[in-house]
Amino acid sequence: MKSHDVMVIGSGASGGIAAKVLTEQGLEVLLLEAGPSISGSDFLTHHMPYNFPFRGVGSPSVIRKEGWLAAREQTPFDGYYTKSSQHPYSTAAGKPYKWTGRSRILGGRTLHWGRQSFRLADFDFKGASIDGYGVDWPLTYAELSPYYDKVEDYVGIQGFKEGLPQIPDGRFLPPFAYNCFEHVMRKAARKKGWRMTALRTAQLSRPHRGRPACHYCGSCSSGCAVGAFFSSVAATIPDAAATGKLTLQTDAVVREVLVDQEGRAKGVAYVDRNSKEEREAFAKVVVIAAGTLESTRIMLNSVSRNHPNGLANSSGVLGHYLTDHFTAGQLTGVLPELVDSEILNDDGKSNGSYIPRFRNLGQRHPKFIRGYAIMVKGGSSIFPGHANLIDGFGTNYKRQIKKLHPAIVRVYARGEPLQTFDSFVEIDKKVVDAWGIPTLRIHYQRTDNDRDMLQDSFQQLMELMHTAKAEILSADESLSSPGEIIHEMGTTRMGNDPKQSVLNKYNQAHDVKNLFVVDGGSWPSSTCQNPTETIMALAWRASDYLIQQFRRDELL
Amino acid sequence: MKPKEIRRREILKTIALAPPTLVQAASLQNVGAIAQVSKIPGTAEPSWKPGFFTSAQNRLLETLSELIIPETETPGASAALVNQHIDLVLSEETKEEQRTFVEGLNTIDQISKSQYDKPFSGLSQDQQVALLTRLSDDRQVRPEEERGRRFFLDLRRRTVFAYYTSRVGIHEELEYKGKQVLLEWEGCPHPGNHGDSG
Repeated sequence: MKSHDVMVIGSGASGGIAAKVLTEQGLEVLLLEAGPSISGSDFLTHHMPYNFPFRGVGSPSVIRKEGWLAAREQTPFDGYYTKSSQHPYSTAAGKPYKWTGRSRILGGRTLHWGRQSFRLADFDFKGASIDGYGVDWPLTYAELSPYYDKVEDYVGIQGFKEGLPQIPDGRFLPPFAYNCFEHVMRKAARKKGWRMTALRTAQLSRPHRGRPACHYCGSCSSGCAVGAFFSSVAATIPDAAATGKLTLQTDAVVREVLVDQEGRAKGVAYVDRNSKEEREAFAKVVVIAAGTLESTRIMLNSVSRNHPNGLANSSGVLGHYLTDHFTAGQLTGVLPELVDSEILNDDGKSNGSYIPRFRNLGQRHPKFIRGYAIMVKGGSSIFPGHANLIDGFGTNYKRQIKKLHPAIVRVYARGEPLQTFDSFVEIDKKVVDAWGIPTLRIHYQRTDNDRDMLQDSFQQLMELMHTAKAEILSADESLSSPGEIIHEMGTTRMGNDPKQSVLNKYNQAHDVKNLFVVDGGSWPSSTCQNPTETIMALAWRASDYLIQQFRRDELL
Repeated sequence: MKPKEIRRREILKTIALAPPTLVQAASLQNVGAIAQVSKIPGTAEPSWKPGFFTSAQNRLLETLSELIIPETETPGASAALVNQHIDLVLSEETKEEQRTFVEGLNTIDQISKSQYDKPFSGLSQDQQVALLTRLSDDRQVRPEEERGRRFFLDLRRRTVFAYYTSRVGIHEELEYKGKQVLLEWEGCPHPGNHGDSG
């Protein structure tokens, strides 16, 4: 059987970048994807709810069996969202974790990601030096910055330059213009002393590298058939394929990484998704990019004489320090100056605005460390969710729903959870998935800092709404369930000390030279920014390093 | 806002300029899908019969949903076939959810009979509105009517969903302007940008 130079496991944001960078530098790459290929003809992005029997949300019986995302009628691709019945996992008593938004399909979660793209701040890389909690990153902003440039040039990210240290400026495409509710809220934010800027998103405001500009249909979560927002299927995989160096194997559900006598990675054992036959594939270097939790699961399932506690786990930290960002408080309100105004197309650009972190930037908050950003969404959307937040029925009710429709604003805080050893995953041998592979048992631990941050963020959200003179329709003073934000991080953390971390600063396993893990698992602190752009920058940097080491025969 | 709509021809041109990618073939078909949006289910079929409810339950459901979202300048819940959607959804729900909903419909009739000595369908519209007004207002609702109040809120949620995801609710009532193909995003058209000085 052919042995490739490099095998990449997973075709999402990080696996796609690795495949592109490695093939473009001449390496023979085998890209394994657990799900099927995506058939573009099935995109139903422009359909209306009434085009579907269950108005797009799916049948209650399917929702019960497979989960509400897999039941969605607008994305009828196998694996666009995984089916609960095929992908079980368990949680520890009293520690709920909603592992959601999972995908098993070519392109992975890039097909439906939120597209928000921010750089981390210089201070995000050295949190421990600033406040004493946790560890600093083993690399600096300056080291990653050239790779942010590369990612932005390649991916295409629209946004305003603001000169703010919390979200450093980059190489942006021209920004989308603000909607009315955003102008109202920007005015309010300014009164609070905050700068509010449009969410920076991987959506094209003009044609870019052969991909067409956004046409503002506003239905990004149902997939983009024209590739106007960044996905692996629209960009990295075709680019890798064009080199002639890519072998793509879909429907390959990886069971474990195989190692040689010395404990070096030599390939994988995988299960054919359809026939369920056991297969193997081999490569000189293995890059795992299956998503934080799935990558960790593969590694914990890869037990051998050399790696009795899971692959590259001599430190014992593999699977630990799991975090998912949280939403800390959420308010929905009505902006009086927009009530009963003409209904506009507010959801076409499919994003909103952002107030970058303002806590613990110099002056220490007495109650908590780190911080949160505020997301601002609103305007008229396709469904008037506020109808369930106001009283009444009949003609007045119907008229009121319409009057409030253009005036709705929703704000919520997105916070940094602290990483702790006590948040971890382990293998539950008793529960296997549809391919007979042991599954994860998740133990997620919130910290007091999370809860103290919520108190402050809720107060600040209320003040922002009052400053905007908004009438509050609903106020949720709680933290989102762990897992819900779909920003898993930390379980294969990077660091300089092999006793305290799984990976080095190049996403290379300390214990296994020819093994790299390039998804969000490497993050040694979570920050409060959306992670994908940084994940791609790290994957690009790791790939460059891999190529350099490969050429020097350092990985053999 | 007067967004420029791209003509189909221009879209095809944009797509033709892009180099071949895996999504290429999809693009053309997807643009075609916009034109097909008008070919949809949801227009009244005289032969429709409830799959879950009895005829009497269906009639009561239709009456109640029309009271919640009545015909105004635009059609109401009845014309939007809200009852048909709720019937379909209920048919796929659990036995317990089905039983709770049917008991709720019965509760409305019981409250009506205890107060007016008639089923809900026998009341004048003013009486029907008066009964629902009490159920919808937690200051007026009587303790023994709590089940009726819970049912009202559940029914209102289902009615809102079915109405505002229907063709009538989206296009006629809320004049939805999204899911268009636009050349550029022009943002807020209000003069002065609400005092946002940039």
